[in-house]
Amino acid sequence: MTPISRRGFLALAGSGAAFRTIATIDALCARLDPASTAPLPALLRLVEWGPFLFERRLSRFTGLDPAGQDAALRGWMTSGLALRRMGFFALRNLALLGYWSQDETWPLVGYAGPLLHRPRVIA
Amino acid sequence: MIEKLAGRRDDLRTRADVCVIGSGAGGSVAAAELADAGLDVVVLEQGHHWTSAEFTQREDEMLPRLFEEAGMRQTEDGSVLVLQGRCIGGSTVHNLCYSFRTPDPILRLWQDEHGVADLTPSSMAASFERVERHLKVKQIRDDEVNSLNAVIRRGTEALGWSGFVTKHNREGCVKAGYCILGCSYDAKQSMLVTYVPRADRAGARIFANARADRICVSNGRVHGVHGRVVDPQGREGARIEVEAPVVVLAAGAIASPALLLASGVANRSGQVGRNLHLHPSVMVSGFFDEPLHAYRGIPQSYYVDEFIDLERDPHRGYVLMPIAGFPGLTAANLPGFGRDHFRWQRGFAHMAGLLVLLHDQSSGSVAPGSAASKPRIRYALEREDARQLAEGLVHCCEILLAAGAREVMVPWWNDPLVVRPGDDLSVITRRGVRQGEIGIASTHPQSTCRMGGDPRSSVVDSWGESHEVGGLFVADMSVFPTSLGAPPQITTAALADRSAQRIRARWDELSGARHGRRA
Ligand SMILES: Cc1cc2nc3c(=O)[nH]c(=O)nc-3n(C[C@H](O)[C@H](O)[C@H](O)COP(=O)(O)OP(=O)(O)OC[C@H]3O[C@@H](n4cnc5c(N)ncnc54)[C@H](O)[C@@H]3O)c2cc1C
Ligand code: SF4
Repeated sequence: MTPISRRGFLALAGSGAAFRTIATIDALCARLDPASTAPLPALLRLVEWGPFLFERRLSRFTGLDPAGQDAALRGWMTSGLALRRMGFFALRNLALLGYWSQDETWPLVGYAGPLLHRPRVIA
Repeated sequence: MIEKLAGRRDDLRTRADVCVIGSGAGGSVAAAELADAGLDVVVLEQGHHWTSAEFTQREDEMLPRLFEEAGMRQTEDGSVLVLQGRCIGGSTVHNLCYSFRTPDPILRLWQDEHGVADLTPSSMAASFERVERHLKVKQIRDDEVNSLNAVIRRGTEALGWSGFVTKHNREGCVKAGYCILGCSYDAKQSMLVTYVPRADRAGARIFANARADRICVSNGRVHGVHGRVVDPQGREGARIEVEAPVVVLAAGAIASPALLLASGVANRSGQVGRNLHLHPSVMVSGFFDEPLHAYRGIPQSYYVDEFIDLERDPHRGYVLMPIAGFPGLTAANLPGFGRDHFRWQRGFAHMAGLLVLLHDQSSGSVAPGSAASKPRIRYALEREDARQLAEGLVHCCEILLAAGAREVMVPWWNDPLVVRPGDDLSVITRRGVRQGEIGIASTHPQSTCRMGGDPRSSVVDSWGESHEVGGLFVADMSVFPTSLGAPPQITTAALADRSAQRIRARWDELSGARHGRRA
């Protein structure tokens, strides 16, 4: 995953089990039909250039401080354009799934984890 | 024989008596019944053949394996999540095992208003009994009701509303709770462990990673299916050609109409892909002081039917169902991101989900999309349906609060609403349910190749055969003439059984004596 998307995902998912989250998302995307993942690189580029494109700010997403990144993401989430909202939720849900699939996140919410311990098939 | 075709380099060309497309609730029943009758059956299933030994109880691994688009398939405008299976066994591998026969008033409606012949509780009884026997359908015992369902029951009973503990298709269930990620214990009696092995034992040739792309028709008769090998990542491989005088299309209510439309067949009525009903559902989350660990135990055993009376009005109503998830699925259902999101997610172990599932009049459509795996799905909620969903959300909150929830969250994406005991709930109906503003999901897409007596307004006849293409049958949820208003797996399986019995009875005529075999 590119540094741009890495920062984007981190802002969406929070920090913590961040690096494995990204590996998990990569592995998950590799298991998806290419027709489903094809729009993702363009979408991530749009998130990166979003502050300039949508808010006329002279900054990329990765150049913003955390509060600025939150505001930019909120702009995506509440956009009047259905396509922008869809893009936001696609990235958000991938980020959340990746993050909450890390074993060390589970104690944060009191999830006891699988009952069977089978070898991981995904990163 | 169950063969995984992924990685196969040489083309597959074969003949059969019957080619079944899809191995879910409809396809596997048709395949087993026809193979049992001595017919040479080929099943093409686009998904992979996963078995319980590979079910890891992990969301990141099981969602891409078992679900279309890893569980992220949506309507074109992104407003409704449409969950469907993509594996040997179809959606039954991840479904939640509520086992209901078709409600009598719905059978009457389909017979009286849609001209479906001979569709009564007694004419369907043999099919229901066969299906229930093979799926080991039984009553869930009171001591098997988990904490989540007990909470919903408590709230429902406190309000004096109607609800009941349902039947299910599980045997030897160890109450692990991972049904939606596939049962690692083979306790869930999905098609993967019931009808698919039955079809296999009866000699059917079942191909996984085999996607049907075109149904071949000439002179008004079907004569085969063309497709491609697709690996679990969707990469295309060798060609597949099956020649068969009978084709049973059972790819589910999204893929079946898309395939008919892409093949340009069986659509003189103009109804293929139309009349899509979704049983749309919206969920709320109640937070309790005590931990519930709602994800353990049988996920759904209680069912609230206070707000549906199909005898009085077979067209409208809604039911309420408990729902739990694991951290990833739960997180995706909660609104917001970052800190705001974590405020809800941290209550995971104390959370009880309750959803309103609508018997919808609203309709949508399906058409082929940019790729075989991405059909275009459209759906628009009518005003009365949106009103009923909002009313249902109020009742969900009432039940959770009556059961002792400290607060209940209604997940409007941008501005979630929190209600506490004593709050005025009319704000929910004032805000209303609008697509794109709140999470809506569908686990029951249906009716896109509807069955009926009139070839001008329906796609298939009373036994599932195309009105215009001889030998082409549809045997999945797409044949429902209207929204069902109840969990659909038993209806789907029983109608497929009924179509299979019809094919058996008419085999000589259908086969055109071409293959000289008898059913
Ligand atoms: C999360 C969830 C929970 C549910 N819980 C319940 C419940 O508790 N009780 C209940 O009654 N119902 C439940 N259902 C619904 C039930 O599982 C479905 O009604 C039923 O499985 C539908 O059967 P079907 O044959 O129409 O389609 P499916 O079972 O979805 O099978 C269709 C199959 O066709 C395959 N296919 C698609 N396109 C092609 C192609 N081109 N070539 C080859 N193969 C193809 C798919 O991969 C799939 O395996 C649930 C569904 C979901 C999603
Ligand atoms: S609850 Fe029962 S059926 Fe569901 S996964 Fe666990 S053992 Fe299997």
